[in-house]
Amino acid sequence: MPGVGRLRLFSALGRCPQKKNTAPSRLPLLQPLLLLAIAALCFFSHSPLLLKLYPVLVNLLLLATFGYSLFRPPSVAFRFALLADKLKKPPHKIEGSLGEKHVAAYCQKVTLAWCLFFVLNATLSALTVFALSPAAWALYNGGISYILMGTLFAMEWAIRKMTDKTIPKATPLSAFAPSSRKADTVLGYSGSFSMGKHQTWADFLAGTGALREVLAAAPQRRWVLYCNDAWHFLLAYAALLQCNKEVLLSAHISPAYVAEMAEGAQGDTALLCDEEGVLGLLPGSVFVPSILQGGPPPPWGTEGVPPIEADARNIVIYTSGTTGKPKAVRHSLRELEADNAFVLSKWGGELLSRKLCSTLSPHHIYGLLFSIMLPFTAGIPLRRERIEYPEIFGQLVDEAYCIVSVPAFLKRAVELAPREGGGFGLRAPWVVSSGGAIPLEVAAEVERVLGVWPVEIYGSTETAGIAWRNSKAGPGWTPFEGVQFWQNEEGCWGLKSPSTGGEGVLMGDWVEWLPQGGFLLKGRVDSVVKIEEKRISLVEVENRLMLSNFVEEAAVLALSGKRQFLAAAVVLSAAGKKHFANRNKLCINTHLRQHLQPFFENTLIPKRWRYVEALPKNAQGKRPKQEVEALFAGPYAPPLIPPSLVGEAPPSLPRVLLLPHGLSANLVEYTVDSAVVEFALPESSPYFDGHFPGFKILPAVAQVELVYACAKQLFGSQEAGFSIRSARRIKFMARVAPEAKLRLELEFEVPVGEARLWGLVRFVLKSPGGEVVYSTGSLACGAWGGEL
Amino acid sequence: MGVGELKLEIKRLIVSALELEDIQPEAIVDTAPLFGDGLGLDSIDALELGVALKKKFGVTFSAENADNKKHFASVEALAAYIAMEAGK
Repeated sequence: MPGVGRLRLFSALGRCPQKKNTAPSRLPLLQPLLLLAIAALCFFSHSPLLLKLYPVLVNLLLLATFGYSLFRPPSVAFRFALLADKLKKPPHKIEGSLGEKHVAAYCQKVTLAWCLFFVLNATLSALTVFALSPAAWALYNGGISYILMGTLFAMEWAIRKMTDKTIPKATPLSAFAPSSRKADTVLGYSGSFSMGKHQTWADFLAGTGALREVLAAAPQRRWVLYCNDAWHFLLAYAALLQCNKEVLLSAHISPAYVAEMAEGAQGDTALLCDEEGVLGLLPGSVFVPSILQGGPPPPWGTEGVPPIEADARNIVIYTSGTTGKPKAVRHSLRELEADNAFVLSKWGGELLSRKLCSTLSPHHIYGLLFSIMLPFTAGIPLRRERIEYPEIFGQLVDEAYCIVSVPAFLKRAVELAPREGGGFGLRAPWVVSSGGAIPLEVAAEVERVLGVWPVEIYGSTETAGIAWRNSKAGPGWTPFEGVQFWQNEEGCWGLKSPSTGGEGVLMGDWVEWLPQGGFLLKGRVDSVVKIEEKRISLVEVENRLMLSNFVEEAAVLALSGKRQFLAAAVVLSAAGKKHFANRNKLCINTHLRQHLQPFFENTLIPKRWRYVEALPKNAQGKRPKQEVEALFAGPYAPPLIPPSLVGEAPPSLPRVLLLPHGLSANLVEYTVDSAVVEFALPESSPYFDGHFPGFKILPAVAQVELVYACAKQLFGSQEAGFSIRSARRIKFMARVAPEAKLRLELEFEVPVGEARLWGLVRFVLKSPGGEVVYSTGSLACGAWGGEL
Repeated sequence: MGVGELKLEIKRLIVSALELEDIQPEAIVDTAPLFGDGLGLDSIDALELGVALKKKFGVTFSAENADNKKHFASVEALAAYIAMEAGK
């Protein structure tokens, strides 16, 4: 088969392999068999015509093969490219690379070119068979045909070399050269992309050069990097690594914390920052903006940049740790880039077509990986300013953006999004989130408001990315490539990732493996506590609380004083605030306790409650345990009721209820969901008039009205309203005569997890001693649309 | 000590011994169940309360006593039991 076997394509294109489910085609096997058959036919038929037709038939067969693959990708040329790529040492790994789609598109064109060539070649060859002399046949098929083929190869090779430059390549920090990108490639922008305030590759090279001059001359080896401008951060980060310094990162910069970071190496630690306010925290600190803006950029030659020691574990990320003391986690650049490489292999296409913006600080692992390293590696522009408020999305309508965020931010964003006009008007954004799982309802809201299901990354400072999911496809998490799981004797799962090396680390979460692959997260291991010997997952209680329509968010923790018990800090939802407006705290406690009762035994139901406007959160959307604990400080903390819950009326319930027609009722007993009132109906009451001429009998409608009047004052929400939706099984068993003393027993049942502000009022109207029961039944009452 | 006074004493004891928040002793309904639905106390609270009642009123709830549950049903039941024990 002349020439075709040597078809070789493509050079370096990115990193990280990834298995693809390209179903093996039967074509490669079919083709040689057909070829053999044709050859056999031609050579053994002893027919000179068939023998002369052999090149024509081969060309037609190749045309069929190549042409078929155009409609059934991968194209033949792409297959050869992948094959050649695998044989290379080291392989460049086209599959899963940033440019894979571009390579495939190029190969499609190459395959089409070869198809056209086979048509031409077969035609000319047929011409020599039928119309020209045997000498001409021999000349064309034995020589010219091969020369044409060779020419096509040469042309394709030349074109390929030119095209290769335009194919997007992953250029990680560890492997870039000044020539890696064009000088005007945009890497950073301010505001929105189309505003044109851009930073380019040339700016990057000049800026890092300027920083290197300062850093190389500085004696300190350890540098706390604190830049809130993502562009400053990127330059400072690159320059520190190029100068072989240690990069210390902490999202929390306070004098005490910085002192802890510098502990034991005071003279060797300095600060590289872009905020004047923190400059004084360590001596010898460097202010990034003044270096970048300090006069013309230093002359920078094309001799190259200092290589980075990618395997040195000199990136130190501080986390608050469980005890509140800073905990240092070390990574090498190589480890972190492995995470980037997987993300790019999976979602490179999504990123390449967008500009990046981030709601995160870059000073922790997720922010560093996704809002700094990832855009640099992929060569897409990053937004310099962090998106601090969801409203800023309204400015990002000029281009398609990739949004790097956390669940807490996304949740707030979808709440704030304008209801009309497609949310904020973002154009086909792509959303990635980490730091915690996004509840399904919120993920669905993100899709509704922003138009895309968020891709969630599960990871930790120690491990970097562990797994990902898209809730649209289900709750299961799919592990990142290169992550291996193991289980210890206690049944806890651990894992080894490119970032952990060695044995790996124990996971902080309980894991349930799914039969179809992937796993579910079943709550934090350290969230499982024992309350008086009973094991309980705090997350489970939190989740159950959040199933109540009245609860927006809940944090449950174990406390101990005289005994161990659970305590819950709760943010009430809008419905909850309405429902409990002007009710005392006990009433809310009782409601939530009853909401939990079907699922947990009393010991595991929170005993202390705090109602707050928002739960304490840090910039990463995590909930600092100490701050939640502080809400419960002191054995008898005063009731904390959010100001929004306190209306104009006094929070305690009046002892007297007002009934229509100037009547009143005494409140005899009252709990949150039940009450007993007593009242009398004087003969003069208008209730006895008109309905039954000649008889003084309390009509049925009046009884219902009285029940409703009491229920409204006892159980109704003033803001949301309270009206009767339907009456059910009302029985009138005895006549109510004038001057009757009446006892009305009421119960209010709110359906657990019900979305609407309504419930069932059960009533019994009887004589005070209970000898006579006048009527019983129930009324569905509520704020809106309640149905039974 | 009158029955009403005794009940109030018991209510105060419940609130203080169990470090209950958000509830005034007076707000506890005499007949409301202490465990399960009502005040939502649990078995550990029962132990605590038993100790406190013994210290305060000198009544004991022995392990063999099958009526313990009945005595702990409500403030009213507790008051009746304490009054009965005191009268012995």
